[in-house]
Amino acid sequence: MSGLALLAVTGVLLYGLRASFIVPAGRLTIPAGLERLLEHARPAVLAALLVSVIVGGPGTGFDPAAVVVAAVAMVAASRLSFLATTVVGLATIGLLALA
Amino acid sequence: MTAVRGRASQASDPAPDPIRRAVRHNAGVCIGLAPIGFVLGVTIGESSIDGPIGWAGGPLLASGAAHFALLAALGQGSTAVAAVATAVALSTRNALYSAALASRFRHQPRWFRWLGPYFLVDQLFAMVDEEHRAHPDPAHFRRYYLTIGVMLAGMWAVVVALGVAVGPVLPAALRVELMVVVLVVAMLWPSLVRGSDRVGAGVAAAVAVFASLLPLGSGLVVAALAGMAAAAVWERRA
Repeated sequence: MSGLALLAVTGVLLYGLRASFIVPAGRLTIPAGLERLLEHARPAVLAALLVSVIVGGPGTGFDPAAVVVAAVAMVAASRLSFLATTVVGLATIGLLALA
Repeated sequence: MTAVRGRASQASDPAPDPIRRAVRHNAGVCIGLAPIGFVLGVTIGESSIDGPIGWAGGPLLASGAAHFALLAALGQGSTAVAAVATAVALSTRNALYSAALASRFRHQPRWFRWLGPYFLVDQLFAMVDEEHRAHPDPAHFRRYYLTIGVMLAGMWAVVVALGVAVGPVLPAALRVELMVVVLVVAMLWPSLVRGSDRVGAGVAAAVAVFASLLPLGSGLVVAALAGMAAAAVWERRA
């Protein structure tokens, strides 16, 4: 399979995941219980994503630098705007590179 | 992301401009994502895939994580099927986003229900989910969503191309991929408003530590579902 075909196939499959509930949304009735569950998706998914990046997966392993960056970002996010937090994050990554 | 954006809720504004709000809210996200896209471009330049074809993966996949995974799998000699399966498995959380946003799309025109999913990534999901709580009007949601989506896709295409073209000018010690951590924290923090949100995030984080041992990134979805269930139970009991 050529590189472009591989990317195209993957792209179609990813679009399918994203569209799975949105395209039929007009005629799809999501049970009330599931809808209440999905209301809590954002904090749960983001927290799981954060920890997954820090601890790594099978074969990748724990990343101490990610813990430092996450701690600094949490302090910054609790006090600063989104934009300022990203700048503080970039500065922290720069300092880690110099250390 | 009300608190993180450093603004008070503007739900009482008579007619807030969704495009201006989207541009303002998305500026920090673009700044945080740009270095990651650049590194992806450098990775493409160093891979066995032809530069322009590798770059085309940006608009075709619209997913940095899947793109990185695909390149890594191919670089390690995986078969095409295994590489695609890895990239798709890593993106299963997109189905969760799709389900969580389905009710927001119920009263949207058909063309938007087909086009909108293309732009659905972590950062967009967090921003539109927050914005919809403040401004539930369908037209406002649509314009806000599309502005963020087009901005992210355009920025991503440019910085990935720059990475491919300019090559490895960044020192290896500068781990700009850690900007993912910064962006996730910056989006997570303001979503921890209610007790149920904090319980859900805590449970998801705790489960993710152990679930990370599961293959193909499936632990992330398991942990997220556990957190969502815990938050729902907490809210019912409160």
